Amino acid sequence: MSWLYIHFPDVIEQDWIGDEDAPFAVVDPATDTVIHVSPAAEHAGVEVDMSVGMASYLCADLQLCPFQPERYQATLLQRALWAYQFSSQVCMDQSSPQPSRQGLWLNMDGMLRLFHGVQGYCQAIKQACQQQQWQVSIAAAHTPLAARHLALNPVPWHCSDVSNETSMATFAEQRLRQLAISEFDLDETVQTTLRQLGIKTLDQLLRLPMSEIHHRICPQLALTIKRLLGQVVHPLDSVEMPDHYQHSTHFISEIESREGLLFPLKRLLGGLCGYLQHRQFTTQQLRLTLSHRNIADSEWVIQIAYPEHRLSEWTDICRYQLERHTLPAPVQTLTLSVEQLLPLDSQQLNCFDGIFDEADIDHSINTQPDTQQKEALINRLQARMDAQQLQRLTTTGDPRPEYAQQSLFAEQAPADQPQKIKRLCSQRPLWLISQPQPCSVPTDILSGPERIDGGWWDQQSVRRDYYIVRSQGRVQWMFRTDTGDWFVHGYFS
Amino acid sequence: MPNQGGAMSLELQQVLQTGQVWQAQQHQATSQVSISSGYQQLDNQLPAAGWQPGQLCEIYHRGLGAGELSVVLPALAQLSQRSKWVLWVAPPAMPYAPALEAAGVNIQRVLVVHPKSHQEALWCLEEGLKSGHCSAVLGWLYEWQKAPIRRLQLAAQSSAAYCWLWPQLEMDNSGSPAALRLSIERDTPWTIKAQFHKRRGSWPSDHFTVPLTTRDLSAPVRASTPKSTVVNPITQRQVG
Repeated sequence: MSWLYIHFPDVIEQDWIGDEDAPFAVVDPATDTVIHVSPAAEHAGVEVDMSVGMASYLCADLQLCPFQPERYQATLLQRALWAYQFSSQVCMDQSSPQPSRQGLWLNMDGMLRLFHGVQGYCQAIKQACQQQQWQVSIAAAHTPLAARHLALNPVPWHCSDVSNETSMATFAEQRLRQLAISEFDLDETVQTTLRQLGIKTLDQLLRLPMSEIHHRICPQLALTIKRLLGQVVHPLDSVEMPDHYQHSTHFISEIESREGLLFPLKRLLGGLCGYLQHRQFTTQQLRLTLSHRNIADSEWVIQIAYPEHRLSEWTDICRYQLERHTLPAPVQTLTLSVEQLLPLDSQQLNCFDGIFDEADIDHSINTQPDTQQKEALINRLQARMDAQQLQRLTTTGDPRPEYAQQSLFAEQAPADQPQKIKRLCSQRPLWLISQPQPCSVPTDILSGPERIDGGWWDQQSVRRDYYIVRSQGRVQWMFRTDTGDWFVHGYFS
Repeated sequence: MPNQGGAMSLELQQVLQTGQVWQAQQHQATSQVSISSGYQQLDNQLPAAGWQPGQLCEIYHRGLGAGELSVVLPALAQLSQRSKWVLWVAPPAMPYAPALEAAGVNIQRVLVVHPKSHQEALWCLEEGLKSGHCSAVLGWLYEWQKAPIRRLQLAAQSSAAYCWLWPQLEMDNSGSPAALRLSIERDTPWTIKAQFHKRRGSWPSDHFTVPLTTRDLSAPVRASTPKSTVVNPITQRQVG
């Protein structure tokens, strides 16, 4: 068995988010008929292929969502990208014009050993779909077409009932042979011909010689049967992974507050971070596009200083950053897009960094697994504050005290300073005030003077005599200029 | 315990065994994690003989220059060697990097935050403590309420971070959720007088002095000249 088909009956809902108990239906705008109903609408009596007028009459508060092919494609593509965690080859099935009969093919070659056989593989996929709260129908077979038909016509037996692969294969074949011809999406003329010949099931069709089917009924039908039986290879195009990420959710009832956006945003972030993890990417910028009914789309850009790929961090950063924006109007659609995908640096994932660091060994109470990711704190603080409110320090070696240190933005790492000759004599205060304060002549001088003379190179020359002074119970760093004025420049704390 | 009579000491023994009596010697538990404050006199007064992670310490002082930062400086120097941040929230002035370097603090780990409001300052402190990316968090508070202090104490405990706060107000005598409360004032230029008003696991202490520096600040400042070395060309020995 090398092919698996996944059928998602709910993809047609196209990521509409609304109240789960409210009845809603997806409508084909061309024909104004209902093509999909939610359970609540079904309970009220709305059925597939009913007209919109009739459906609205039966259920007064029915929400109607138009079917949009490009949105449907986008949703199916998202599912295909999600399915790449289970297989190296994922193909989208768009052979049927009806959207409710489309799905994904997964090639199982090479994956069965990892998942302990076909049973384990199907089980893993079903569990993953349950976590995402998707309905699925899965079937495995030797050929893609066989898997597709088995998935679209599920039987209660499913994969878990049958003991081993060979008996599963025989059962699958028996089941296929019993399928009616109408299930095979054939042309009207071909179906009429087969009906006139009295052929109703695949089993009856297979008794006819293949050359006769090719010449007298339809060559395409012969090719389909050969592909179904595995006599001819069925070529399929894999889904290509895009270089960017984009996903939208649409709201049945518009969202009017920032807090209401958090839950759908968290779902989008979950999809994004899963994608980043699967492809080993990280990113520094998210773009949120909010579509409104009457005004132009708003765009919120969330930019962080250090690349991040973890869901917990992105969720908190987005929550803090959302507080800085205001909603101009109720939101109908929320789109998350990431244009810049950066490769995940393997150094960031070094799991031994925190364990063998000698100084951290006595952190036995709470060991963080990613101590080397301390830059994440800067991302979180900057999510709520301006960039210039966070600073790092570096020394410059300038003799003038006010230029001896420099404040850097949090993103700039201070360069490693070469080993400086320690000036054993100089005592420097722990606090330096930015503007020296004039003061009176001190009476209790503890040490000094220390002359600091320099700054001729940038026309900011200073010549001061510094003293360590005690006054009012505090130890201060004062200086006297050439003119005899005294100023306080720092405090020894 | 001296044996003062058979029946009485037996009752006392039973009460001790059931843990209904607290004994002062219990607070000198040596198995607790702590780092030395760098000052022997301060270590003697601290429970666990040093600063402990997850135990918030409030330091009260009057004005800058009272020695309130020097008491934690040796511990900061040690903590800054780890691969985590030393976060400074709302300091009253800019910490002077050459002085920090001279004290042994690795300034590459120093991150200074200037919040715009008290609420923002509390948020930064809590974020820094909860994140687990900070080995030490230092905060200067211009307002004081018990509930935020309790939250900070719990956050520090949850991530085992060292945390010191300098409330710029008079001490509220009704008590504090912080584990330690220390008040400091300068005694002589090179010693400070300190008192613990609260110590978790012990009772408040009396005044004690802590010499801050081994070197006398009143010594004359002189640039050090390198020792001249004369190499005897014949014997190749250094003559200093």
